[in-house]
Amino acid sequence: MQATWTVVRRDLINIIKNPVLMISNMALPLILTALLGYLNRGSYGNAGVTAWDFYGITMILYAILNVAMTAGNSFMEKNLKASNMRVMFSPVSRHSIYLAKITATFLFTSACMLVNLLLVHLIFGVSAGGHLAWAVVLVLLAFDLATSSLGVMACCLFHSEEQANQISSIVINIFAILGGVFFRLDGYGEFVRTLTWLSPVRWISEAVFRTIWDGNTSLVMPVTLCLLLAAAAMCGLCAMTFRTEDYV
Amino acid sequence: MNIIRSILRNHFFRMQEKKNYFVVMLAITGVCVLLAVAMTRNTGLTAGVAWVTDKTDAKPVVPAGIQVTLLQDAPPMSALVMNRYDAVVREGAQGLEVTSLHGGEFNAQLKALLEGKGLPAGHSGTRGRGATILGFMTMFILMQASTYMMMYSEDKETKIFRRIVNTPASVPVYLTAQVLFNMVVVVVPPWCVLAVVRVTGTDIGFSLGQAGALLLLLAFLAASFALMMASLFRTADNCVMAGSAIVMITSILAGSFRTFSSLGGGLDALTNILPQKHYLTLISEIEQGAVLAGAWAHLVWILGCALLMMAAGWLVTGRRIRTGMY
Repeated sequence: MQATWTVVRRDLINIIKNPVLMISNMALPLILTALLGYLNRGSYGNAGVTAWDFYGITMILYAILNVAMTAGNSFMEKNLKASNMRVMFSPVSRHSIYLAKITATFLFTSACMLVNLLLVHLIFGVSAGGHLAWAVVLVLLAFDLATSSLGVMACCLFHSEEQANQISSIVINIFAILGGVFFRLDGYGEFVRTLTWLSPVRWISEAVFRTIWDGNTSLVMPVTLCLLLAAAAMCGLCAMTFRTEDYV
Repeated sequence: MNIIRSILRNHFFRMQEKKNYFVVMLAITGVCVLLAVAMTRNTGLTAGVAWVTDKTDAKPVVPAGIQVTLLQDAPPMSALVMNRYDAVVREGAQGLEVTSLHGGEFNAQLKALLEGKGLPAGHSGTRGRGATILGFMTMFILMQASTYMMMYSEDKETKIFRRIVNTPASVPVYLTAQVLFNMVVVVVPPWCVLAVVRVTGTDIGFSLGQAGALLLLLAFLAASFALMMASLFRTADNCVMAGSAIVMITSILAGSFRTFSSLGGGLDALTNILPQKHYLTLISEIEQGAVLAGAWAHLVWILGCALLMMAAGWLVTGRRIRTGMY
């Protein structure tokens, strides 16, 4: 346990020191929120809801999807591979290598996500659910854990960070568009509306928006549980596919 | 020419080595194109309305373009925030009551429209089928090009590039080969999917020749962008992350998913610079068969942007070679 924690600390420092990861987790969601909220300001009138209220939340969901890339980066970036090798030769369980990456990514990105949520709340007045904010944060944290595991799992499956990230980057964007984080798809007809439920983002945004706007938390627990189960399943897949000899 | 051929051959060998990766990428391309086609099955809808009524059997007669969902209870607020419905309509004592998040003016217009008094509001996206499909694909093709440029990044990271620099194979020729390879792998799969869609009898708005030419133009732009990014960034992953963020933001701004009539502020001037915007205008003009005199200007602008980005890539690479970075 102690050994794993040492690896986690080192991984955390590595992530924080990477400027691209810092920008993509902190600045990008804010820029996208500002931009899309501004572009779509015309479609929300004076009924107490603004475009920021929608895009502030969906862009945080999009940022969490992109955590998979951060996770991949923290796992297999070229200059980190050497340090992974040294951990492999030390008396530390091999599982602690990928578990440490997942933990470090989760800690870093969830901190970023919470700061971003606070910032969009303060700057753009995005409603985060008032006294039900805990439920929103719970779903978002579970989602973050699932995408952290997804990124590391992709690395274990493809054995290379570039390939894993290039594939996940496109899959992520398909999920995001299908989940309706950028614009609504319901106008495209019944068939597309059914398709949108294939994207986990759709379920998560449904849970979050129902909590914030209807005070209805009925989806929170099922969605959170599913996300945690998915995270556990992906960790299990990592355990099955992670072979130290691939990295020598 | 010989050198280009051998580099291309080498690239295709390397593709075989990364079979898994390319198979997954092919599958994703197929899904993207089919998704784009699926989304255009139903264009022309302007508004979705939740009609709150007790009479669930009789669907009210509404003008075309409005999609009515009959409900017994008013939909929750979240459905409106998430844009499931544009408006809620109730049958009140004084006729229809329209409420929405869009504000009073929209409510009044929709009410007049539903009562048969107003004219249908002009549909904002008058883009045709083909332009919608290609518009959706713009973003994916630009992203894919960035990822397919990985062999260049890989050559740099593994110091193979240093060895190439020191051989008679000149750097411009090497970079040209990268761009050619990129264009081929970016264009061929989506074009094949479109061909299958077209042959099986779905209208894609363009002839296959037109679609091929337009995809090629887009691929040229995409490959130039990818070359510039791969030259600027030292590692492939940073390049892909930055590249997809840039592509995402600019594609949204250029309106490749939906058109914004006017953005206000300085944003209009900004979006008019974006090559995607000119590409989208060009394809919808071609589809409608109304190629205006301005079409050449769009074409020149796109090619100009592409050449500029390519030149930037070459210059950066050239300077780095001279300063001995590789």
